[in-house]
Amino acid sequence: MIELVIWLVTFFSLFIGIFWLQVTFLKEPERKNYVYPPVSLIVPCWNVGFGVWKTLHSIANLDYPKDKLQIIAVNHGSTDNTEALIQKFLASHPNLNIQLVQKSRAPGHMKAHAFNEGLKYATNEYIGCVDADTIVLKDSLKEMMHLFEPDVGAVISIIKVNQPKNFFEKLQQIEYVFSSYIRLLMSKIDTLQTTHGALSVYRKFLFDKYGGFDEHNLTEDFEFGMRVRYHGYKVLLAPNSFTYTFVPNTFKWFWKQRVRWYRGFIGTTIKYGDMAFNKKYGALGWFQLPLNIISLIIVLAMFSLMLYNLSDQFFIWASRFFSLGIEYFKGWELPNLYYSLLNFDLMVYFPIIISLLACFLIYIYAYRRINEPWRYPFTILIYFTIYPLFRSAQWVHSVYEEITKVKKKW
Amino acid sequence: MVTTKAIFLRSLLITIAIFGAGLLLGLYLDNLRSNTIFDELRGYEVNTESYLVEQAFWDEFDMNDCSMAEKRLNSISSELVELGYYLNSYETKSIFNDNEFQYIAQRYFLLEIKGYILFNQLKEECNLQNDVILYFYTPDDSTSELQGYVLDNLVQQSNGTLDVFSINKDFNDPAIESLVIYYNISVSPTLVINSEVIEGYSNYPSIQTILDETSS
Repeated sequence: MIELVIWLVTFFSLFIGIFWLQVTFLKEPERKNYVYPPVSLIVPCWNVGFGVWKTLHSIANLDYPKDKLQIIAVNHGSTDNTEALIQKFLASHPNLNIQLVQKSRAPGHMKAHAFNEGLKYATNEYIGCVDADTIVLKDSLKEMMHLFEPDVGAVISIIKVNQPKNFFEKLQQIEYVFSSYIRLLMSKIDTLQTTHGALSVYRKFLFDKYGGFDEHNLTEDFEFGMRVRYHGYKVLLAPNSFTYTFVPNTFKWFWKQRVRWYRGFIGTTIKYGDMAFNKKYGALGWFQLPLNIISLIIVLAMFSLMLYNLSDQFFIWASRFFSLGIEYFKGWELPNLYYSLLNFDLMVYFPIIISLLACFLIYIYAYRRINEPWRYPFTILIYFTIYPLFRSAQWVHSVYEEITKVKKKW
Repeated sequence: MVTTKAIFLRSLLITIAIFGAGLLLGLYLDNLRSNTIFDELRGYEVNTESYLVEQAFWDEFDMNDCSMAEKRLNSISSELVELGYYLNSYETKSIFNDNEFQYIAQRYFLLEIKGYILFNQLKEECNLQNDVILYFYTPDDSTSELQGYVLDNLVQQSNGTLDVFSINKDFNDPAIESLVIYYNISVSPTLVINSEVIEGYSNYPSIQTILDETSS
């Protein structure tokens, strides 16, 4: 039974690796002439301190006609100096069309409440959401706007981690490179359904017609991306639009954020479950959404398998140690190399090696395309060895919280 | 324009091809394993035959050299232990060569029984102080595996004064069945330590105690 599970997981992983590797070689959408339609950028802020200054400063520096930009900073009941900093920024940039909106924060309120409040003041045809811990690069917005064809509902940017310092930040830097690249590949084959908070731009009429961000969803931006797809519009990634974000720098914060994301993913996937295997949604319906669901099942299966294997190995080790006592440490001998090599199970390991190779190739392309240098060799080693187990544990935690209906909070 | 469906199908075909290649490589390795074990086994068989001929020769001229015989038999039995370990491991991995491995295993167990008999004979004739354990096990049984591990350690620590001959108690062979009936083996693991039958798992100290008590 275990061998069958390993074979199935290996087959699936290899197939997915080869699939994305082929998508890598598909041409990216060509850059058209830049267009500058009026855009309203909403910046929800809650106790972000000096981060909001950096975010607003980067928006002010966008290479985009200032008369086409409306900036709405929503102070969502901050108790620190966020409001004062926004006021100061307003005063120091009189030429910008920027306004401060106050929104009181009731218990249980999330980012969606602040964004939806900002929406009430937005006057332009396009609405952008910029998290207050994000720095947008000069060209980011204009690189996004020219992708808005009539059938495109939203365009997202590539997120990079801003100056990773400690181990957790570096780990996330590697993860962001990979996830951004996979989003780029998904965008190429029109299966992208994720929008994020760093910098995503939507058509305003979608909010007017289908409502604002879901105020009960833990990942309101991801949910809205799915809603855009549900109503037949595309979500694209602008391959030359870059934003920098600050990421959790402590274990606890990192864990909490991931559990929130994964719970949001599970909730949204269930909500739009009828899109999976639905021909109406093209490759998104018959490939991407089933893939997301199967991946989750595989993660849970792998986690159970790894736990079983670890506990089994521990039991063997413990029973050997307890039956031999101190002699256990005397009995070690190097195994016969030739016999050990023959013992290698090629039927299982050959496809595993090839899938790891495919995965590694995708990482190389990802680093090259996202334009990130290969850094942090120790973190990369951890990322490929221990981190999958860690991530699986986060998924298990999220599934547990969803099943037991733990109260949703930010 | 390459469609997603085309990429999907192509990926599926490539994946199947890679799995097929893995299967072929596995088959090749499987054959290599059985050939390697078979060749080794043939070598031990020849060694054992050579030993028997040599003994017959010395008997004929009443010039038996016990220390030489002991050395030769010790070397045959210790190499057989290692071979048995890999034979067991390879057998569990084999998908296609099951019958061949069954045949090799049968020859291996017969060689083990032969070694056990020769060792007991030598012990009697030359009044050797060596200990000998006949170990009955069941494959894929965690207690048997643990017992095997303990015995391996004992052999390593014994500096050549202990020989272990392991037999799959459920193996379908008349010689093994005779041994099972003779020692009245019903559970695994069971150890026959210097002719004393100990049923169930025995830990390191308890085997050492029995060896001390039963040593001739």
